[in-house]
Amino acid sequence: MSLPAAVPAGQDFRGLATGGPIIGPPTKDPSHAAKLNQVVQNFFSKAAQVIIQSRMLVNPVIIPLNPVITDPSIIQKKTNKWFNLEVDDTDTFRDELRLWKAADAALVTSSFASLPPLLIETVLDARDLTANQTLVVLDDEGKRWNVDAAATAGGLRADVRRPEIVLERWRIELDPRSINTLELPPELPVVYKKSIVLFRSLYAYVRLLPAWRFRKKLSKAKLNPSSLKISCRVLNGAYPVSSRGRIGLSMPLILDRKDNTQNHTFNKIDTPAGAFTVHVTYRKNCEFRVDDSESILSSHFLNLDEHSTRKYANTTAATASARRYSRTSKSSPANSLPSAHSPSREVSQLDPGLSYGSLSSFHHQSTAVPGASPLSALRGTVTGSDHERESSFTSSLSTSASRNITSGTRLKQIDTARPSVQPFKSPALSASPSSDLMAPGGGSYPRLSYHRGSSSSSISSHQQRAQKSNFSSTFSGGQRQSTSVSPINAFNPSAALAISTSSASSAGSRPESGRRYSSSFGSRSQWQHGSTSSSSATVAAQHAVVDGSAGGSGTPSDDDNELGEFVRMLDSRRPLKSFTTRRESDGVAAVTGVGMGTSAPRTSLARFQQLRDSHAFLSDSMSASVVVQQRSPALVSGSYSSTGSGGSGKAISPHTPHTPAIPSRLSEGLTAEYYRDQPVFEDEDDDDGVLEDEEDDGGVPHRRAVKKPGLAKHDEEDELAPEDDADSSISLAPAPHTHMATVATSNSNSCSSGGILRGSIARRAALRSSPSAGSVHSNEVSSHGGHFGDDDELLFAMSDMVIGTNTTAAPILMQSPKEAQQKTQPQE
Amino acid sequence: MLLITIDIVLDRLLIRDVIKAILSSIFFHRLFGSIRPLSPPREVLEITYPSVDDPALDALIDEKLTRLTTALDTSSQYIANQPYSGSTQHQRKAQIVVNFFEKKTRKAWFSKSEEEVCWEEWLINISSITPRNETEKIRVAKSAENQLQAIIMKVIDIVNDNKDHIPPIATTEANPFPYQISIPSETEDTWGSVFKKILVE
Repeated sequence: MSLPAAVPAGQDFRGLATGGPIIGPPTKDPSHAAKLNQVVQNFFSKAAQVIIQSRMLVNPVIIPLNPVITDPSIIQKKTNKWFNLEVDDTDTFRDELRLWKAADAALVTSSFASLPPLLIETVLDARDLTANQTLVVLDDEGKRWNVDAAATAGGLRADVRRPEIVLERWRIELDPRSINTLELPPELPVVYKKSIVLFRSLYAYVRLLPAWRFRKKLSKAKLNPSSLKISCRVLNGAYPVSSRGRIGLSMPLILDRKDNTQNHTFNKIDTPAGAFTVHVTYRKNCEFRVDDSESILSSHFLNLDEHSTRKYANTTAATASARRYSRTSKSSPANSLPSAHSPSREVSQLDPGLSYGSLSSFHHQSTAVPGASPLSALRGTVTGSDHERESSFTSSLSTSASRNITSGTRLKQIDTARPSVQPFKSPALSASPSSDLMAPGGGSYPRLSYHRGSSSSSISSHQQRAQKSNFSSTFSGGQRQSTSVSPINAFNPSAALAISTSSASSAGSRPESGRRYSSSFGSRSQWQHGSTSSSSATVAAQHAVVDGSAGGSGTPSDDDNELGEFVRMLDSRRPLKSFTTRRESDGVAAVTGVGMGTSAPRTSLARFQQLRDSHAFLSDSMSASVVVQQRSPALVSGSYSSTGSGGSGKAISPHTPHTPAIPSRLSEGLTAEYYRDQPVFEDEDDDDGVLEDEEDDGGVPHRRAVKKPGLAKHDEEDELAPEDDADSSISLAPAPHTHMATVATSNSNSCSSGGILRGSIARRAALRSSPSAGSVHSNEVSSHGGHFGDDDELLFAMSDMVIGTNTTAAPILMQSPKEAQQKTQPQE
Repeated sequence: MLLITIDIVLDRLLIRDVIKAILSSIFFHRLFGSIRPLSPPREVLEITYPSVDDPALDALIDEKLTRLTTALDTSSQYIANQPYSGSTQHQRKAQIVVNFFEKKTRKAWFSKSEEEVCWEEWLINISSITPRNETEKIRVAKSAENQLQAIIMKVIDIVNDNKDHIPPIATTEANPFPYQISIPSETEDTWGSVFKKILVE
C-alpha cells in the first residue's frame, strides 16, 4: 500500500514550530531518536498484533532452527515481548503494516502529517453463504434481524449481496499535534511504563467485546465452519473508508435501536513524538447466525400482489378497511359452518393427501375458479378479492401496533399464555355452538369484535412471532409492505393460539381477555379446534362438522403426532402455502361462508350445545394434557375452550364463533421447535415496524442524508465523523464511585480529543493535497527489517528504563501535575 | 496512593470463580514485568478475563480465596434488601484487599533500610447471598455476569486513566512491585459492625 506522504524533506520542524530553545536532548541524541522510533513503530505493530490475534488465526513466525539444536521436532515460535507483553509474533499483514513499522518518529514530529492512523477492521466474512442461506443477527433479546434486509432498509441496493460486514474498526494513531513544546518531552522509560499498562488493558479489552464472544462461539460450534468467518483488514487511515460492496459500521442492522455501535478510546499516552491513542468503534450486537432461507422463498410469491396492498399502508386506511370488512362478514350467513364431507376424522387428519385435497377444494369454492388447479385457484384468490387483502392488512396492523411493546413483555405473555393452553379438548366446542345459537349473526358477529381487539398485545405478540419465520422475505425485492402482510397471515395459527389462551383465562382472572381477540384468524382457529375437540368428546357426527368447517385445513386435532404430520404434509407443498395462508388470513366470513354454507351445520350445532354440560367435565381432563400441548403450538387454541368454556361457555362464546380453516402456515416451520425458538419469528415484523416508524420521524431520510453528502458514488464511512470522537470521550467517564482522579482524567481527555480530531483532519487534508510519496518510503528502506520486537531492541528499552528510573524518578513524579495541566489545555 | 473500591453482590456459589476473575484482571495490569498471558484465556460466566501465566500467583490467589470463603461463611448474617426481588434477604459480607508496594530505600545516619510504600490499593467488598429458588438463582447469575463484565471494564478504565502514580520501575526483577492480598477479619475490622449498625437502625 503506497501512501502519499506529504512530508517536507526531513528537516527539523520542531524548533521552528516552537520558535523556542527547548529542544530536548532526545532530538539531539541519535540513539534516543532511534529508540523513540522503535517505540513508535512497536506501538503500531504491537497494537495491531494484539487486536488481530484476538480476532483471527495468524501465522506464527517460526524461529529458524538453531544448528546446535538438532532435534527438528522443536519448533519455537517467535515471541514479541514488546511492552512486556509476550504474544506470538506473526507475519500476517506484514506488508500492510510496513508503513507503520517503518515509521520515523522524527518525521512525525516535524511534519505533523507523515504517519497516517492505522485502521484495523474486524469483519464478518459471509461470502461462503449459499443462495438459500440468510444471514441474521441476534439482538439482546435474541430476536433475529435479517442482515440483507437491514442493509436494504438502510438505503443499499437490494439486489447486491454484500458478503462482508464490518464489526469493529480500531484506530491507532500517533498525533503529533498534542506535543507540548513547552514541556520537557516525556522520558522514554515513562512512556514505556505507561505503554505496558495500555497494552495489557488492550489485551484484556479486546476479549470483552462482542466480536470476541462471537468468535468464541464460532470456534466452538463446528457445525458450519466454512460459512461464516471473522477476519481482519488493515487500512490506511489517511483515506476514507469505503463501504462499497459491504456493510459498513454505520449501517444499523438492528433497526429498532438507534445506536448499533459504541465507541471506546483508551487514554492517550504522551510520547515525544505525539500522543498515542487507541480508539475503537464496535457493533454492540455481533451474534450472527445463518438461517435457512427456504421458507422465505414461498413468501416471494406474495410480492406479486404487493403493490395492491401498499395502498393500505396507511394505518387509518387499513383500520377503516378492516372495519368495513368485518361488517361485511357480519352480514354473511351464520351458516359458515362446514358440511362434513370427510368420512372420518382419522382419515382427514392422518392422510395428508386428503387434507390437502380438501384444502384446495376449499379454496376452490371460495375463489370460484372452477377447474383450476389448487395453485391457480389460490392465486386467483389472492389477487382477486379485495376483502382478503383488507383483512390481511388488518392483521398486519395489529402487528405493527404491538411493535412498541418490549419484547420482554411479549415473551412473558407468551410464556404465561402457553401453560393455559389445552390443545385438544377444546371448550371451543361449547363456545362456538352456543354463540351461534345466541347470536343470529353467528360467526360474523364475533368477528367484528375481533377486529377491534386487534390492537391487543397478546395477539400481536403472537403475530410477531409468526412473522419471524418469514421475516427475511419482507425485504426481498424491496417490497416490504406486502411481504410483511404475508408473514402475519402465515402465522395466524399462532395468533389463534394467543386468542384462545386469553379467552380461557378470561373466565378466571384476566379481564382484558376479551380485547385480545384481535384477528379473524384467531376466531377461525378456535372454531376449528373447538369442533375438533367436541368431536372427540362425542361421536363421529361431529367429526363431520369439524372436517367440513376446517375444509381440510382444520385437521390439526387430537394429538401432537398428528399435528406434526399435518405440518409435514404442508411442508411438502410449500408453494401453495403462501397462498393458502393468505386466504386464511382473509376474511373468515368469505371463506367459511362461501365454502361451507351449503352444508348442514345446524344439526351439528345443536349437538354442540348438548355437549356443553359435558364440557365442564372435559375441561378437567383436558387440563391434564396441558403439558403435552405446550409443545404443539397449533393445538393451543383448543385449550382455551377447556378452561373457559366449562364454567362460562356463554360469556366466551361470542368470541369464539367460527373458526376458519387453518393455517397452512404451520408448514412454514411452525413446528414445535419453532416455539422453543420463539424469538426468531419476530424479526420481520419488527423490521417493518421500525422502518415505518423511522420514516415517520424522518429517521431514514436523515440517515441517508448523512451518509451521502460529499461521498460521490459509493457509500463511504467517514472516519472523521466528529460525533464519534465526542462519544468516545464521554464513554470514558468512569463509574460514579471511581476514584476522583479518574474523573479528572477523563475530562481532560475529552478536551484533548477535540484537538486530536482536528489534527487528524488537518493531516489528512495535507495528505490529500500533496501526495508526494517520497520520504516515507525512503525511510522504510533505512529502517531495520526486524521491527518485530527483536529481543535486543526490547532490552534496550528495559535497561534504559532501569537506568533511567533512578535518575528520572523525581522528574516523573513532579511531572505529573504538569501533565495534568497539559491535558486540560488543548494546545495550538 | 490510589484507592479503588469495587462492590459486588454474588451468589455464594459463584464467589470463588468471580472473585478470581477480578483478582486476575487486577494482577494482569499490575505486574509490570514481562508476562505471558495465559492462553487460552480463562473464562467464567462466559466472560473472558486475562490472567498471567504464573502458577505461583495462581496458587496464592487460590489460597486467599479459600480464606475469603471461610471468612464469609463464618461472618455474621445481615438482613439486607435483596437487590433483585426487593424483598429482604440474609447476606454475608467480606472484603478482600490487594495492595501494591514500592520499595524505597531510607537512609538513616548509619544505616540503610528498605521500606515498602503502598501506592495502590484495591478494596473489594463482597456480599454473599444464597438464592432461594431457581428463578432467583438464574437472576443472580445473570447479574453476576453483568457485574463482572462491568468490573473488568472498570479495571481497564482505571488503570488507563491513572498512570501517573505508578512508581518508576527501578529493578529488572520480573515483578518490580511487591503485592499483598489480605482478607481483613471481621473482628479487627469495623466495617462489618458498622454495616450491621446501619442495618439495625
